[in-house]
Amino acid sequence: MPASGWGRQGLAIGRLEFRRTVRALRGDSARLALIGVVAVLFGLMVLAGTWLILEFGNQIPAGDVSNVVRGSVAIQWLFAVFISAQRAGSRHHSIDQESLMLLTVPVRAVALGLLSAECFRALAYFAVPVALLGGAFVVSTGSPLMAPFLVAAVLLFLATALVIGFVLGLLAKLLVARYRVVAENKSVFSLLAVVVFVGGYVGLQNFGGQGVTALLGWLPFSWVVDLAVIGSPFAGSLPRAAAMLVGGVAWTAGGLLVVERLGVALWFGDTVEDAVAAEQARIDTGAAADPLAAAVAPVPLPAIGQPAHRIAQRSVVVARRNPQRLSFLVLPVVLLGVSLVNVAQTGVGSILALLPPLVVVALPWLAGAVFGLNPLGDEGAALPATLTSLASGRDYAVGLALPGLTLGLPVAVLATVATGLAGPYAPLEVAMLGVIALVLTPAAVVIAPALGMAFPRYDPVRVGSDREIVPPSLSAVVLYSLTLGVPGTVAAAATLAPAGTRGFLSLFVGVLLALPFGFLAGQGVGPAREIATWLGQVGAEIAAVPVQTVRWAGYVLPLAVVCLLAIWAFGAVTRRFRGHTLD
Amino acid sequence: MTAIETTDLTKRYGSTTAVAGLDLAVPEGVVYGFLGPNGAGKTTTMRMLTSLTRPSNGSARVAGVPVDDRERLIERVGYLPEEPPLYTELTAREQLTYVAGLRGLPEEATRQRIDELLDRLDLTEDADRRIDAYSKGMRQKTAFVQSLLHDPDVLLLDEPTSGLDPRAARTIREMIDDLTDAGTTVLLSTHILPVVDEHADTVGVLYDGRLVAEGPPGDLKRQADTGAGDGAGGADERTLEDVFLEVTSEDPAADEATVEGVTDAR
Repeated sequence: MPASGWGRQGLAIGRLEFRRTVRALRGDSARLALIGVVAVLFGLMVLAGTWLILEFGNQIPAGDVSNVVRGSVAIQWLFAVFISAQRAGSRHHSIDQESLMLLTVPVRAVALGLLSAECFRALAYFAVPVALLGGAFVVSTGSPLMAPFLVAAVLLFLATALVIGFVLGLLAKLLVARYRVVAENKSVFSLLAVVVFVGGYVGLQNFGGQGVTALLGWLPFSWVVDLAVIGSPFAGSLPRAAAMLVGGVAWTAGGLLVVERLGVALWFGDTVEDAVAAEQARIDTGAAADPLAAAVAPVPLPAIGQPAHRIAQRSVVVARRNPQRLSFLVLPVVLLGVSLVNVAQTGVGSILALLPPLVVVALPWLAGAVFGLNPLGDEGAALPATLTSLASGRDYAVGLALPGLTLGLPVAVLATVATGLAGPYAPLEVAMLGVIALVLTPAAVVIAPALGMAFPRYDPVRVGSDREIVPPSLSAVVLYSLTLGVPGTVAAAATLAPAGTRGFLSLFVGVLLALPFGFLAGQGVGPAREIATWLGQVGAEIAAVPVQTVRWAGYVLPLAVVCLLAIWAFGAVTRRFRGHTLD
Repeated sequence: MTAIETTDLTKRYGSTTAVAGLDLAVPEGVVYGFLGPNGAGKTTTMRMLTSLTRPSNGSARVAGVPVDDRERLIERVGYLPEEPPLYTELTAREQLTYVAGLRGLPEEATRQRIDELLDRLDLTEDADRRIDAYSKGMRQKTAFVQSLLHDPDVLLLDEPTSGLDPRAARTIREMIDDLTDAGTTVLLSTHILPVVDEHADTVGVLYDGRLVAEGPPGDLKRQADTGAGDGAGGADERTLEDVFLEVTSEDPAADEATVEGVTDAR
């Protein structure tokens, strides 16, 4: 095979891999929906930014590019390196159908294929926003000469970050393949790497100050700014721009060769991973009289009838041994944490005041979601065996609920009370919050499987390179969050801030709900005017309700609704399990 | 008594008919070889017989229990689907203990039975390793043990020897014989025709959702049209593979060649 063809082959591999990514995404409606939501939000921000640049870009005072600006770009470059390294180390360290590829094309073509595929994926997400924002800048500052340099700068930013990210990722994978101690503790090392980087990144972003940022401006990769502003009213350093242009290309080419060498060592070399996995697969429960009970220890599952108990034990063991299956929980938990910090930073309330109402809803939510949000999908290939077992629908419902209840209830109640006592709340309010946790958790562990069975998901998604998990369907997650979150939040809000809750409800009904009807009335739709007026009156009446009434009604009614939903959910799980078929 | 009985059993998925009017009558204590090309409807039939799929039409009884009565049916049947129904995070011993618990089997006796079966299938050494570290054959063996743990009256096996080495495959075949000797009825679906030839009392060939031939393997071979009576070879020389190819051929000429005298269900 002519070696000169490796470039063409590599790009062909990259195109195919990218096309496969797109096709896989098309078939994954949940991920597609999530990306759609993010795209809409992010797209609105980009459009707003584009408009702002078009309107006011020409008013930005021209000047020199400072080291602070370069440093800010360097921080983003480091972030791109981290993401690239993480993806290379966990997922893209080898190509699919490796044996076919390695026996068909040179290794360099495979290396280029991996890199170019990742480059295409990145461009698919960022090309349009960058083009819009960059184009707006070019237009508003009237500097068309800038355009080619801007494009070159963006491509070099991407290529240099991708290449070093892949080198680091493959190097990490190679260490795992070669050294037993690394292979045995790879999860710990991965976690450490994430904690160190994210800690450093957040620290730099929030606490580094301009001095540290300016220091990062000396990193050569930040000089893409100097390249990007050529031809614009902003003056960068031409020597730095030239160094970036030449050095960036050389860096990328050199990086490709290093990726190739690492690839040869990784793809053709021996690995200790299989031996380590075989050792770690050996479980020390065989000698126990009851191996499954031994595997569950020290989780104190209460002793109940055998089928239900066994289902509960299996849920705990599977979750413990395959924690990746809970990765779907990471996003909501991170979003919640970020929202909490943001709210606290903007001064709406202190973290201590916000934590109790958050904990009282979030922990019961977790208790239900961890074990029961996709019970049929979690069964995987074992579903026929479970369906043809003697477990009744009631056994199944109890078995699914038991782990969340055993582990979640004490944690939810104690954490709620502890955060409540640490916050600025009276003992009665803390006790009322504790009761909310006491009601929400048992409800959550039966509502989650009921919705999970009504909206099951069976298609696995890949986590890392070698494990597939079946996350819950988006419908189940959203409905479960609403079913539990809305009553829980209303009850907590009515307890801690009855006047505010009354004001919000009054505004919600009297203004927000009435708004569309008011609009329709304006268009001449007769009945809409009456509805809008009625809603306005209801809003006004809510505003006149005594605070104590709001507190107790807002507390008792949502909890009663949750209890009724839980009763329905238990029956639904029981019926669905026995009636479920593989049709 | 009839262990498996179906009347006009039909399954449709939209406009596609997976199983069309299947009539079966399998007596107790026999091995019924269930053959057919890929997509013929064998797995769908097995799922209907285990209540995992609802028939679109017709009826079926397994061990005397209608298939729409899952509560009673599942006590009497064991099922090994083509993909071993296992939790890969558990060890084989944990998996079997789990399923025994779901079936409410007595713990001490079950432990002994699990040990015996694991030992017979050479799995004792690996019984405390996680299933995700198992080979395909080891998974298959574990799932096989799981399917007969509760001593079912009727056992439905979908490719039970798939992925097994010759020694393990032989052990499984011997266990199947032992089961039928003890009165269990086995519905055996496999593409390994010599296994059916050797062990099945009756063979049924499903093609395009229809039963196109049925009878004891010897009778099917003896009375197959091709070459019969021309002195080219008798039943001893003809194989079940010849019969299978004949009755599942789409060639119109071959289509006319029937396995006469047995039960030609076409």
